[in-house]
Amino acid sequence: MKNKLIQITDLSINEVLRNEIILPSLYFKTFDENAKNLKIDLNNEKEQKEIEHLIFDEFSTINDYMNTTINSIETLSVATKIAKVAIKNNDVKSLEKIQNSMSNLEEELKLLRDEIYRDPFTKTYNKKWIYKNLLDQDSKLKEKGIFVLLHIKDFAYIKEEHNELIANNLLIFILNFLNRQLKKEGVSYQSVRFFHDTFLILVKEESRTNLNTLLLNIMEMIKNTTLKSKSGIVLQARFNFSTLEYRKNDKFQIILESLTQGLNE
Amino acid sequence: MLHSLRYLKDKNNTHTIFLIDILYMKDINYVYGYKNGDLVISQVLKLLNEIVKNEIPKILNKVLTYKLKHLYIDIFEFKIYANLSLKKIQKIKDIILLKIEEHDFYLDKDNSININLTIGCTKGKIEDLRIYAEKALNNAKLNYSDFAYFDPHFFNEQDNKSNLIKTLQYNISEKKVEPYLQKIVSCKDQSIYKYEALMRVFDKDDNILYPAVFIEKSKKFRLYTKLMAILIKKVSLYIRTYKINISINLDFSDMLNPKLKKIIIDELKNNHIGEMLTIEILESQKITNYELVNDFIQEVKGYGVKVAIDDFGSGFSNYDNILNLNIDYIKIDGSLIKNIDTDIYRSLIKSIVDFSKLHKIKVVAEFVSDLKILRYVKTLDIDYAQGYYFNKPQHIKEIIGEKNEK
Repeated sequence: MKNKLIQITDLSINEVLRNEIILPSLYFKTFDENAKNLKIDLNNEKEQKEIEHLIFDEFSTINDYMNTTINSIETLSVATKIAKVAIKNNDVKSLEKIQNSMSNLEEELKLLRDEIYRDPFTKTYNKKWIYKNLLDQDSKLKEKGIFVLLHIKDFAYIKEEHNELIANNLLIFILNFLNRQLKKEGVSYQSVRFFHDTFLILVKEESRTNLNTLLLNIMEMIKNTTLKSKSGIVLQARFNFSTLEYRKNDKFQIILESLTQGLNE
Repeated sequence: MLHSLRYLKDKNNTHTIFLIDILYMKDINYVYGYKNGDLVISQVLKLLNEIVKNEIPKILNKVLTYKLKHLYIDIFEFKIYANLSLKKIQKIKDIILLKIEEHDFYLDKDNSININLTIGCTKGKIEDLRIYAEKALNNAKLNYSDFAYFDPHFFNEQDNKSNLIKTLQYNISEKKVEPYLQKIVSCKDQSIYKYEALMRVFDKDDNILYPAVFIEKSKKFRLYTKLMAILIKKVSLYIRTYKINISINLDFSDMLNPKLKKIIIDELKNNHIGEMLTIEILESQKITNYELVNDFIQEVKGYGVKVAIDDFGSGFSNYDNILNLNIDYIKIDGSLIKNIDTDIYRSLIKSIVDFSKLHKIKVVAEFVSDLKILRYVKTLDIDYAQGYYFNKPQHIKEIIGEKNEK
């Protein structure tokens, strides 16, 4: 059910992003239509229960985040008080203790932030991260850079024809391969899971020509690789991509449309 | 029956094909003799016929239209004229493996042996379906598994292959093969000591293709020698035109390849490039005949060529290589240099450097990608460095442009 809801969400976001203004009513309408297309009755009692369960999970995550933040603020407040006394008394041991608790605090907050801004399966960033870090309030890009829209081919086919586990393994294999090659070539980047089989990669300080050449070569290298599942199914890993340079204040929606068009060409 | 015949004739129907391979058949022939080998094969065929007639229809719940034949020495082809589901394919595979592997195969002197099988399978409409079943079979063997199924959804791989052949042939006919040059600098003052030539080819849209995409494939397609010949001639031309020192990579088989050897010796003899050329020996751990390699080294050294061992410290490369080959440089493998900031790797690199210094061999560090790594390299008294910190491999025009600017 959760996967279906993710699929409906992806489809709906994809459709509504083409609009200049997205009112909640438009999103609900699109979501409802896509749910019907995928034969999910949102008013059905069983589906309702599952949705409620998901909402409860989401609420728990937010609640955890809130609790940890409150605890962190309390820890910080106590630590500050102790630090004041420790500095005054030149108490090195207490200062060391404070430093340790600060590191733990930082680590905890980082984990929480990751939970909110990362895709739980691939550990790449999720769409929330884009809106938080790349875009301003008008959905315009805050800085210049290059986007790569990368589509993992056959993901849906493998999921349908074989099973989700094999499809997911294919996805992870391609991502790992890509990460290794990009790191080997010294490319600094951040990747976002944009749809279930599509990733948006953000690259800075690299020429688009070099990036295209590199991705083309990675695409060819991966084509030469066959993967085998435990049950003996031999598959090939394939992806396609499009790249686009963007400037500060460019509209994300327009850039995304061009990238999608490039992917389909 | 009429329906079956119609199905056989109709090329648009999907067929399922199994290639059944007797594992280590050569060993059976070698240990028990060819007569017994033939005896085993005839029993396998008989047993397969029984399985196909009696067992498989039970799985499929219908009478089959099929062909079973002994294809090559140890391979049988079982073709079913039906579009079977993967579940049914798995069941057929299981029953074949079970029945054959539990069977006692009799030999001429009342002895019996057991055999193992590997099965490759695919299904589809295309004529050369067997190629993909063979791919599945090879894949299973490579992975030491008893079964592989090649999903027909990925059949277009043949097109990729023919595209790459066309690309390589185009690069050969148009002499597009290009040595891209990466700087090797002195660790003392970072002056350019020489360049390493790395082969690049271009696709129809003029995109650069990296060696990882085409080198191994070009060997398979038997086009590698032609690509190397063009590269060597271009390197010779650049040495003469721009008066720069360049190193090229050769592996064991390149040194034994009469055509490549002739091209190298001709260039050394006729164009006097020896003093400015270095030959880097790749994959030295694969050298099986040091005498032949040393003969080659002696011959090229007669023209002033320097010789290096590449990727030292990787895989099973060992100090024997340094002692057995008459070399001037060793290049420490990038996997070690990347980890130079850890104590274990640093002490490993140091031992290589100390050993090399003792034998008056110069040392080059590859994969120097940032200042931090360069600093470590310098502290270990390594002579030369190479890597993205200095430059990514560049076209000769860019290299010469930079030189002129300076």
